[in-house]
Amino acid sequence: MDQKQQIRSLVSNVIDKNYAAANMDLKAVVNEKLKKRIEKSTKNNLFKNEQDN
Amino acid sequence: MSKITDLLKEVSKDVLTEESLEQIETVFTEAVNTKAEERAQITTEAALATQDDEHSVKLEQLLESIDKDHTKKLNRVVEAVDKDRTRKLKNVIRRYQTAINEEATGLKDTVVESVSDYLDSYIEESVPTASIDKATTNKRAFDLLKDMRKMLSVDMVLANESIREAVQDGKRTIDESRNVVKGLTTSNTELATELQQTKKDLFIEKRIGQFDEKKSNFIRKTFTDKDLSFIEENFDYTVNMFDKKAQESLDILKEEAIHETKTQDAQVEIVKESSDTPKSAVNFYAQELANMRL
Repeated sequence: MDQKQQIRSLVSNVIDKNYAAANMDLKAVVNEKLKKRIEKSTKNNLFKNEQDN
Repeated sequence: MSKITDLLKEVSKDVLTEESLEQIETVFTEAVNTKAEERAQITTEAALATQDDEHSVKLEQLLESIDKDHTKKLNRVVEAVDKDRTRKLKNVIRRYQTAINEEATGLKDTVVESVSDYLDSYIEESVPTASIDKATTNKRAFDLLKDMRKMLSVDMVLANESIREAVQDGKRTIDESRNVVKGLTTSNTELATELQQTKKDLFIEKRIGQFDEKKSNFIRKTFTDKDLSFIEENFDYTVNMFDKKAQESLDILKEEAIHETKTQDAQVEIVKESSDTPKSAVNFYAQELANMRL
């Protein structure tokens, strides 16, 4: 599911007081965001020369 | 009255006296009047009852028709009111549907964006990007080393000091080689530039060997800062342009000599050098030729 769709579902569940589903959505969104950050981080050069910086 | 009196007189000429006759007449008259009044009253009551019945029927019909008319009119009013209210309610529904579909959608997007931004900032605060980078780098390096060990058949027992030194030595060698390559690349670039310049000079000098000094200077000046392919392409054209201009100047001088122009009274025009940069190749040559003052 798209991240925005997950956030929509989270907000909707919070409004409906369906907190169990909201908790699952929140976990999914946070996991997704962390995964994206890690993916971005893995694209960096592992053997980046200090002189290049 | 007179008839009954006359009749009685005739019937009872000798029996009844005048008084008796008057009494009979009076009684008879009263009885007749009473009967007449009773009959008249009965007739009147019957007529009134009949009239009441007729009027009742007519009134009922009138009421029915009035009811029907009012019902019809009220139905029309109700229909009109219903239509008007329905139209207004439809407008209200349309307005709110628009609000729900457009404004609420925008609001929803804004809320989603805000929640997303908040989560981003919270994650950034809880788990900084630098930590993620560091962890990722460590993990990748660990995996890489694991693969290298597998590839080089080096297990943990063999991963001793000598291997580490060899790896470090390899890294050092790679860095040195990289620096050497960088220096060689710079040197190669410089040499290529020098070679290009030398080729250019050689080409020009070879071609202008038989030209006079003025022409040679013009050619050199024209092709300063130009690359070899440009010079090769435009050399003949430039030489032709120069020759043409020189010929034109010669013709003018000849003509002046023929007409014996008096130069003592001649007004010398001050020639201003234009510093405009020529835009095309032709203008460039013309400018250079003009600067030569042939």
